[in-house]
Amino acid sequence: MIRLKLENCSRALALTVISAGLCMGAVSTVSAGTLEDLREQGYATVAVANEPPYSDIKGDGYVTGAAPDVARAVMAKLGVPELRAKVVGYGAMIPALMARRVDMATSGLYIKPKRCESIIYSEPDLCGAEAFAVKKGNPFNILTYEDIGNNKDVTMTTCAGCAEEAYALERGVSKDQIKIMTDPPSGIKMLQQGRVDVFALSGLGTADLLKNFNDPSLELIMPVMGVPMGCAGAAFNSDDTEFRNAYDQALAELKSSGEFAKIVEPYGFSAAATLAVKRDDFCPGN
Amino acid sequence: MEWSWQVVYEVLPSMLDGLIVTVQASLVGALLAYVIGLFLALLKMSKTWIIAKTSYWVSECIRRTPLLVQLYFLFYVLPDFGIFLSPFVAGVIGLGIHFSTYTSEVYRAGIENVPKGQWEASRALNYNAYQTMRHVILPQAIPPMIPPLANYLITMFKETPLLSAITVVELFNAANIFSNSHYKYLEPMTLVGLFFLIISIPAAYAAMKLEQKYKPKNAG
Repeated sequence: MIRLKLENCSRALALTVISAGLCMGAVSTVSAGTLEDLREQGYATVAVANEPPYSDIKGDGYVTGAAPDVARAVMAKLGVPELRAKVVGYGAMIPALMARRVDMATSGLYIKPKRCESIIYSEPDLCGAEAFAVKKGNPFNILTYEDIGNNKDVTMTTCAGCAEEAYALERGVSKDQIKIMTDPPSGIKMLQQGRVDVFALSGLGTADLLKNFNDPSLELIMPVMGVPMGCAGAAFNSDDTEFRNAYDQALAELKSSGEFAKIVEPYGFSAAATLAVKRDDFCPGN
Repeated sequence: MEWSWQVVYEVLPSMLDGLIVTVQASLVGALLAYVIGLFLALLKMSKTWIIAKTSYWVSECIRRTPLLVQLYFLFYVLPDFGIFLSPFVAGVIGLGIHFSTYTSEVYRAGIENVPKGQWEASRALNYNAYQTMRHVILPQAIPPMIPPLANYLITMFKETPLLSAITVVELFNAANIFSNSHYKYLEPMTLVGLFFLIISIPAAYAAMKLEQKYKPKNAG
């Protein structure tokens, strides 16, 4: 009887040791994040939202789109040849960075003061106007967020934790009017089915979705007046200042060599618009 | 990571609204599951071979596919066929139909477990079908059904976060929406767990009591 118990004990002990080992293994991979470690392992794990043309994951898992392509070029300069993508919603990108589940977020995450409290950004890499998608003929005559706020019968959809949600709330749209979509294509589906009246997202993202849905009963409103042009940058854990600074330097080289324009313009982004702004315009001292 | 009561204070109002939706969805979904399940059980026990087989296979198809897929179908696909359901309605119908396939088995087992001799005795007493059911079969069949039916209610309660996939702002989704724009997960998700526990532990205790109360007396 006693022997049996002892055997149980040692088995439990062995299990504890194994699981502790597993935990430590997990912790050590999570804490990797500096540029040195990335060079050594040969790839960086990046968060993308899978929202073309900002970021786009191909069927075979290859990550492309304007933001990852810029990041890939920059990281290649820094000696990290490969990007591995994780699909993360915009709202979850900052927690993912803070928890070091990813090394960077390269997905057109707009540089916003509130976000800068938690993470740090590279210099802007993509700038674009905002857009709405509405039913053909724009039955509620929605051109700005204020128009939605003024007509409480109108409902809109956007993604969870996206800049558009904040734009809407700041401009008089009530919480009840916003139905959070699970992903952008489902948002368009909700618009088609009349579950919402307005779909709000980045201009190029919305335009790309409408092109793919190819539904003549929908209409694009772009640019949305009264909101700033959204500028995104690669985002980093706030402890990775050194990594971020190295990234900035390589990005600057990319911009001045003209390679940057060659990457972003085929996606419809204006390189000139991006070159005209600095991170400090949005988040001074970030 | 520090626990912040400020965050708790901020997220609580929308989570309480979410909790109401969660409870409503569980209760309405369970009601549907109980009613549809009863019809399904009767169909499955039908003497007509084709009805029994068809309902058996329909029920199997529903039971052996994920509820999440069924919810997406109800919410995103049905409107293309002209059937437009609001998120909440699509959600409770999905829950109700999915779990009716489980409750129908409870009913069926309950009725079939009444010893054959009871049916024969009813016939010997010259009872008609209604009298047989009302006075002999159901009084023996229903008590053992109650505990499993109560347990399915608790299970459905725990499955309601799936409704967040079709934009129902229930308890989990309310917390998640907050997390997504405030980058705080510790407090909202802990509260989600707590709220579920606060309701499901007493409910499970009540179900256990029911089980003791309705323990079959002629067992063994």
